[in-house]
Amino acid sequence: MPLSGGSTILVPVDVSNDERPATDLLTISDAVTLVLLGYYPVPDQAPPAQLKADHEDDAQRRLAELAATIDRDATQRVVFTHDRDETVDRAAEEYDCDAILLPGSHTATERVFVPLRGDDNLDRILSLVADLLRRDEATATLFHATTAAEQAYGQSLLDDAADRLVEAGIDRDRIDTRLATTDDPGTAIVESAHEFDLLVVGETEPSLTDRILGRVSTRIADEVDRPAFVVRKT
Amino acid sequence: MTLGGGTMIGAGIFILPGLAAEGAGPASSISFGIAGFVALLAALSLAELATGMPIAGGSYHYVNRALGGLFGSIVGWGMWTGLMFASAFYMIGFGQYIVVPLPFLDGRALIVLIGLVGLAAITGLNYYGTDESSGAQNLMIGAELVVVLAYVAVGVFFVEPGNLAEFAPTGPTGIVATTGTVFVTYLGFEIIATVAGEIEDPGRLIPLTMVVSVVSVTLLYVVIMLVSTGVVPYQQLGGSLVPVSDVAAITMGGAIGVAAVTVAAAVAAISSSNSSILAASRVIYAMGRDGLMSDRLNVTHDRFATPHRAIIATGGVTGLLVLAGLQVAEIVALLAQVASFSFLVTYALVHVALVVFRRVDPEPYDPEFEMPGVLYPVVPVLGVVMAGVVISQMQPAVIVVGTGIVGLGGVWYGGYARSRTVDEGLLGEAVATAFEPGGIAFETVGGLFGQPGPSDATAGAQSYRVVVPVANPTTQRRLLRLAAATARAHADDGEPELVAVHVTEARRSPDRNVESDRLDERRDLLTVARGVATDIGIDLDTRSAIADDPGEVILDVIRETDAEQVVLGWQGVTDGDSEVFGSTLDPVIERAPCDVALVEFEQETIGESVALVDAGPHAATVAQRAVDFATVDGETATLLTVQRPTDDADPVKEGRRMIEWVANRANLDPDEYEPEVVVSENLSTAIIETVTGYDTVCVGLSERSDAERIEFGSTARRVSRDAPGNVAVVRGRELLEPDARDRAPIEQ
Repeated sequence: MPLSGGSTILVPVDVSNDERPATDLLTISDAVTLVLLGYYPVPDQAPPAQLKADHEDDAQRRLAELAATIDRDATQRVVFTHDRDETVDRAAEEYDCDAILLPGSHTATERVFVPLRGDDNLDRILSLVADLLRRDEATATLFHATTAAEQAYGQSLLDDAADRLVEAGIDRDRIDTRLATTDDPGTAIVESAHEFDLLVVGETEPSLTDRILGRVSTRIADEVDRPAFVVRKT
Repeated sequence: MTLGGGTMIGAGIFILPGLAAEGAGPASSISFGIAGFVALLAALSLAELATGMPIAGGSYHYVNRALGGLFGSIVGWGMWTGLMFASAFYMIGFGQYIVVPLPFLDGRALIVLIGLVGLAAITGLNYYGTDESSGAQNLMIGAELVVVLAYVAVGVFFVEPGNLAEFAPTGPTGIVATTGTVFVTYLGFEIIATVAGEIEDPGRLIPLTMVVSVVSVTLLYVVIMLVSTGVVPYQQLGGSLVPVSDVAAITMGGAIGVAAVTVAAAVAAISSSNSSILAASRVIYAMGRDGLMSDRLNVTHDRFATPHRAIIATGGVTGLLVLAGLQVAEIVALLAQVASFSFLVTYALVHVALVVFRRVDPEPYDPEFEMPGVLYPVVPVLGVVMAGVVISQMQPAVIVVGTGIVGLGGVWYGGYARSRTVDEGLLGEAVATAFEPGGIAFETVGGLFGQPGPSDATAGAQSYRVVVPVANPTTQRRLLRLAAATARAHADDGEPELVAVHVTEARRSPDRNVESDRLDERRDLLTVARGVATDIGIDLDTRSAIADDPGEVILDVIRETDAEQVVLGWQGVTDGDSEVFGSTLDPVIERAPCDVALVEFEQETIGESVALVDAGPHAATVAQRAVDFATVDGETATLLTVQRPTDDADPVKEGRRMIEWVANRANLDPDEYEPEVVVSENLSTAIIETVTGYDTVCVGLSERSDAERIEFGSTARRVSRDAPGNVAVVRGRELLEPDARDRAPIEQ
């Protein structure tokens, strides 16, 4: 199946203060559609409408300024919310986004790290990677960590994925594959990720503990201080 | 869910059994049952109001809207003070549970001190703002619930029937009087309504959550009361400051049970008090919004974004109430009763508000949850009566303080708020309609939701109605002007009347607070619609609904009002795979039993209009619309046809014949239109070139129709895409009646 391309990416931006997120990433590819979600965190103590009445103009202005900085069309939306994660989820749903961009302090964009878990969600992940690589000079490393017994499957997963990127018109030289043998894939991913500029990871199902104790964004995105595109499950 | 349930379980279970046992013995379980019943009545009324107007503010908001600023002020102050009394009640309970089990601590002063420390911590926390600590909160409330359930489950086996033998030592009066004390536990479900503006899918969740939490908590309390008085004789239980600990000491393994109960009681008191302070600042915010409270209390903190002044004010007064515990021995019972008093008055007024809303049925009120027929008006009437009965049995001191609070609300309104408030309330109108023959005036919304409402009375035969769905503020005026012109042009067929419809799409949205925004938007749209109608001098009926599927609602309105036309705004060509014009427009275009005009606005003026007439089924309607639309700016419409050059006939003559035939079918007089025939090989290009000279172009929907799927004609599609002026895509009603459709005479 060919990759569809043209991913839609949700970019949550805190519009409650004047700190600007790095915009390099937002201009990374013309092939993607951007949805800028300006969220304004509201403490439990205040009704969202109350802060909206006080700060809506500021919030709209900040988001518009950001949109102007990146100089390209983007859907803009400002939301006053008690719960950022829930708002992001709902907006991603509403605008049918393929991925959510989580910020990190690192700003280079040349080396893209793509840990793959399996066939789940692979189309969306690869399609986004292809969109990102259509920009010059960026390279992608497809990564799979697995136990010794599962190596054959892991290698075929990586090879297939690389082939599909090539089919989508990406130069073979710019795609690297790496298979790691380990009993702890999570740690292997986190350790390797530090060598790269940017991550593309698939969303995981929240576990029961996540549900009770509040949601944890993927461990990778939390532990690695790199911007990450979290590709949503369909 | 956790907000309401947590508050209710926390509030009552640990502190009240002692007071209740003292007041009514084992029969205090009945007091809890009565209090639960009163709360259930209020929950039903509140649920209907909350789904009709999901706006932050709860009871205060409904009463203010229904009965005006005086009662709004009474309820607002009542709720605020009630929440503060309740909060103080929880904090003294908190102090009791901490102090009593620790052997080296003693005395009321310490109880008060610890209560104040707890209150200061809560107030401070709220001042700095908490966000998303819900995980930890859920764990704590979960643990609390486990302790409570264990208490009941284990306790049942320790019940000694002998303790229950003297079941109702104080008789019915004592039972009702105790109801006044324990009612304080039912403030919890009110909080659900108070934050209703932020709940998603309020139509389903609010009624469900309220009724389920009231019923389940009531059952739990009844059982707890029976267990407690069954294990420890009521006389002994009544004298205890920590009744649940005393019972747990017997049933749950002594010290371990006491420790578990102490921790659970502390958690419960903190979470209840916290919820009350949250709810209080929302009431203050809602009052500020309506001008009933100084805006200075509603300033949000620059850094923490919390309404810090409201929180400090609430915390401060609550602190004074806790301090009063130093002087007043029966402080706990008094605090509980005054809080109960305030909320009983509030709920009584909520019931009245419901009746007013039902009678007047104002524009923004379309409850998604409606009390079933058998319950109305039984529930509100019974609710008011029960509140009166419970209040009448309260201690004189409580009645004095409670009445003072009510008086304070009234005095506040007279002295401060009266000159600032804008809301008049609907009471006057409700009274007026009550005496009007025929009952309900005002815009009718009820008919949309299935009951044969009085709205049918408006669907007489004498009107020529044009339905106009309004959704887009920028094009709304033009749409209404166009619809008014077309309705007027048919004045011979009936009194021209517009029906403006606004459908709020009930879909999930990332804005939690979206409901109130949408209500504002709807009010704005319909207000503008009324303004435009008044300017033009045409009758306007307005309808609104919240629905999953706006298209279906529009169809319902068309059918119900027996409309002749529907005029819809449209954003322009869409190329969706499954939808032709969009999910809202498609069903209307396919199934509306009337003429349909879909208008894409490209410029301000309607100006000169042109109709593209051909042999298609909609040609007559297209011509008619062009003539109607031309009247907006006093122009004459042009009927245009483009013919291919042929060898054996004069194309101009053929074209004129066609125009005349169409005009004839549309009942147009020759002076109502200008014919224009263009001869060209390339029909499509010639059409675009010609219509470019006009302000508004009317085209037929398609050459063919299909029951399943409308084919958007290729010419129509091109015109709508390329013509610079406004474009109206028109479909005649005959589309629905294939038998009546007569084809153009095709002359060979």
